Amino acid sequence: MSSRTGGLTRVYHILYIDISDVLRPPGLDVLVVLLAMLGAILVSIQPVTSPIIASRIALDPTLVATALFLAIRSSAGLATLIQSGILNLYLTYPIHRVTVAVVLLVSRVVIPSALILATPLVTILILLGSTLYRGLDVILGMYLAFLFQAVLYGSVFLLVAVRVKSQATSGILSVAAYFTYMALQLILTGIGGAIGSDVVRRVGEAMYLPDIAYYAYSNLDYEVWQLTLVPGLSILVILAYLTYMSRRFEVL
Amino acid sequence: MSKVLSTITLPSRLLVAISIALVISSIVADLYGARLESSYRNTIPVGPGTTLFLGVSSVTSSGKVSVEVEGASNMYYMRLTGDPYTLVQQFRALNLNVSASRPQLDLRAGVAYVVALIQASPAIVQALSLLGEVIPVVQAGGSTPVIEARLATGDNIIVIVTEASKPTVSVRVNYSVEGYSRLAPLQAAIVSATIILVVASIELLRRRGL
Repeated sequence: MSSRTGGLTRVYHILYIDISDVLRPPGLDVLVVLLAMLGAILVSIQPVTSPIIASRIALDPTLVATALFLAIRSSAGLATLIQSGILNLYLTYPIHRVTVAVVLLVSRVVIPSALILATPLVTILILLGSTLYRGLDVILGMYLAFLFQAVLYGSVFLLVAVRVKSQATSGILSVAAYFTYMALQLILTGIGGAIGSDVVRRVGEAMYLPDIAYYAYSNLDYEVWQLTLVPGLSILVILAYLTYMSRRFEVL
Repeated sequence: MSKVLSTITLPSRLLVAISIALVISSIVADLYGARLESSYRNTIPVGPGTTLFLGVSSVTSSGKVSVEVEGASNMYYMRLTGDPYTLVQQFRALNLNVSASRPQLDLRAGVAYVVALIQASPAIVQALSLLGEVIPVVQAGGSTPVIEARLATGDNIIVIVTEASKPTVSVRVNYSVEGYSRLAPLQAAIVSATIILVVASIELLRRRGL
């Protein structure tokens, strides 16, 4: 019993230390103030009365900023941990390697994305008030869709970082991967429409989960498997990352 | 600045960020923000054999619309979900001759107006009836008919004039947003000040406790 509690405490220590590094001021603070402000301005220059549209307008630009934050803090940041030997220190803790990898995923991807995406949403909830309260469930659903998308990007970035182990390279490759993914989504949607292939078009659409969530909530045309593509891809990438960390990864 | 920030907890930092954003965005919203009224006026020459197509689309808002058409002798209207501008494009794909189609977006009221002239009179009513119920507008004794409807976000109303009694038809659309509210700058300032006071007192108590 005592060793189990001790193990949990050690996990908590690493999580706490790593989160303090990822979210250290003033990077997060400046980003979050700007995103919350711009999101709130975007929803107040037009009389948005629909919670779905309000959350989309505020979170679409936020997701781009979140992806770039993750490319720098999770991908390049993790490479810094590897290069400076801090990850070595984490791995000397009597915790399983996979646990350390999961902790890094939580502290470098899940928590930052959840916080950055939540701030503009809370701001517009306060600003627009009663207009949005009746659609809290819809707003939560849209938030989760954006969060899944951010986690997909972040887990790809982590995989890149543990593979290349260099700060600048992993940052650049992460940004490149992000823009490739975005372009691929547009290309598939466009080609699918042009050649009249429904499946290709739907795959293109499904690569951006917030769009599908938006279709689902607005009673527009979508298929259920489209909702599972991004979570499915995330699980695959996370499994690849965990497998790599537990079997192939060697510290410098 | 970062020294101060690194001594306070993460939730406090986020709450401070939210309160700063709230004050600034409510001031911007008050100066340049949404308007709750929008109107559209246009006079269009409608020749024989030409149909005037007018679409009013609530893009981001919801509200009440009233459409007044002067100079029409035969007209219909229908409700539709989906983009009326895309619909006009699709008429073009159906080999109907569409001219002078132009969408006009009133961003600050969250509504868009589309006007198009289509070279097909009876056919268009038949084509539209595939999409929904096309309701004829009854005109009593030369008075100008007014079509009123309530639009939810993403809803559209389409007015079709198939026969004009005058060489030009003039349309007047009034749209008023319903169900929209936001904090005034003063209210936002009060909320922000409250958040910052609470955060500051919690942080001070936390430090004294340590």
